[in-house]
Amino acid sequence: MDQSMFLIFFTAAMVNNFILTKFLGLCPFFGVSKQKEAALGMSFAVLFVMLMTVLITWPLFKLLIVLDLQYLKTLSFILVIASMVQLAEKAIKKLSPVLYDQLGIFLPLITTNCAVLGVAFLATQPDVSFSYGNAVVFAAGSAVGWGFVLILFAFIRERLSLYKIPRAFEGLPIAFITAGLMAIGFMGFIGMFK
Amino acid sequence: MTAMILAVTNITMIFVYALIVMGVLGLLLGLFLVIAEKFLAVKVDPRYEKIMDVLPQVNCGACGYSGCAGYADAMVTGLDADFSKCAPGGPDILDDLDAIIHDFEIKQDDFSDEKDKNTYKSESIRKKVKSFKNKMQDKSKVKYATLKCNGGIRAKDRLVYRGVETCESAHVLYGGQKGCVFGCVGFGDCEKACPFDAIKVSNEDGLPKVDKALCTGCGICVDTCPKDILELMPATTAVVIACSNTEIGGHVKKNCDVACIACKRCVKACPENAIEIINNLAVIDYSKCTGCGECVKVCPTKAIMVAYESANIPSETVSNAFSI
Repeated sequence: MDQSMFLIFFTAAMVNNFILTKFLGLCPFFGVSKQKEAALGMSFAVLFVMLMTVLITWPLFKLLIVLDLQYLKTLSFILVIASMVQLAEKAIKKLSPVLYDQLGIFLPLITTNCAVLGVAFLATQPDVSFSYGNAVVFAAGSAVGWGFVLILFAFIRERLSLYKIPRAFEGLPIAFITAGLMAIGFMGFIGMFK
Repeated sequence: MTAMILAVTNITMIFVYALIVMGVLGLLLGLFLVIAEKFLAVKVDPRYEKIMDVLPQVNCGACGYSGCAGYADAMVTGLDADFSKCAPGGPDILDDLDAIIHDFEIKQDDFSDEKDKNTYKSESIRKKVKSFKNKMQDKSKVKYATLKCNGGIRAKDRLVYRGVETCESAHVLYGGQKGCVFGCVGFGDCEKACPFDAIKVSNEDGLPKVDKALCTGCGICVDTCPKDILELMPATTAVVIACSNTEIGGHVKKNCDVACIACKRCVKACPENAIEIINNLAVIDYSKCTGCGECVKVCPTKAIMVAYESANIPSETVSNAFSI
């Protein structure tokens, strides 16, 4: 049981990384990665939202199956995600107003982050059929992987801003190229487990 | 449970169940958030919202803070007692800001001493508001964006420019399509940047014209211009050297008829010795300038323009020269 939980965690975090392999949640990836502190704060916010979301949506989906209302999946998931983001916003505003200002518009944008909806869908996929515990571990792994790549990227981007880059590539273009190179790097994780 | 599933063949029942599920879910989540609010409420000074309503929300940075929110924050926390820093807001918002910060009601209409006594709680507040109003009526504090170039169509092109039609792009390409690389290229980056629509590039001479009624002196156009030829000048300015070219006179004349050729006639004509030639360009020392207009009269290329405060300049000189 423990070994498979570690497997799920590591696979979700590194092998099937949400940003570099699945290309989900790219909006805040490029938007918040200009500063390390903001990136760290964002990672924690997304971790919180992903965990809370899966904690609620996994039993919710089971309920929907019982009531034969699977078509309500997307609608109810979004409702849950929006509420969790509201909660995260309130908590961050109370605990760290500086981080709240730094994240700015990207905090409420977590609601529309495809990575969060993605993790909710993937955790409730019928063909994989995670148990409750495994689903939560999957969400935690995905969030940690997402955050890890975001923070890594923030480090690189801060360094990149100090160098002389051709004018046409300054800003987003060089960021995209860097992300692409990182994705190729992460491909090395494929085939780690049989 | 299974009995319930078998019963859901009726389409009405499907709707009803859907409504119930979504309704209950929404209710539970809402309740959860309400409870969370009790623990996570943040106390916000109510004056902050009121001030944000008063401020023009242009976020130009003229006040020196990072956007209107920064200025509002500084005023509410008491870090800044100067309400007159907002250039776009101007004198109109001074009374409102003062009323909000010091928490009293403000009555409409002008200030007359009788009304003052009823409106304000203390002598010191009355005095402070009066002094702020006077400060903004002080013309030297009111600034307009001024273009230090009179070329436009008068300046000759040295090449045909085919490219992105913005001043920044033209400037990047060896300084632009004009023979004079210091002058205005006329593609209107300043016009696009102005949040108050106070600058429009004129069709007559290809130069941006600033509307004094709309210009608030926020300085965004000054930062936008890639040639750095827009400058904020106070409303007390009488004359302006409308040229930024530092090349020698002979070379300058080939490209533009209204450029400064550094002939030094203005230097000799000025009774206050307020003009100097620095790097082949006339420069006026405004601390000495009295606005007499002698320099405007003698300039052979009409490079010196009449500015805002032209009361002391003889009308004949004004009609023979260019005006802003």
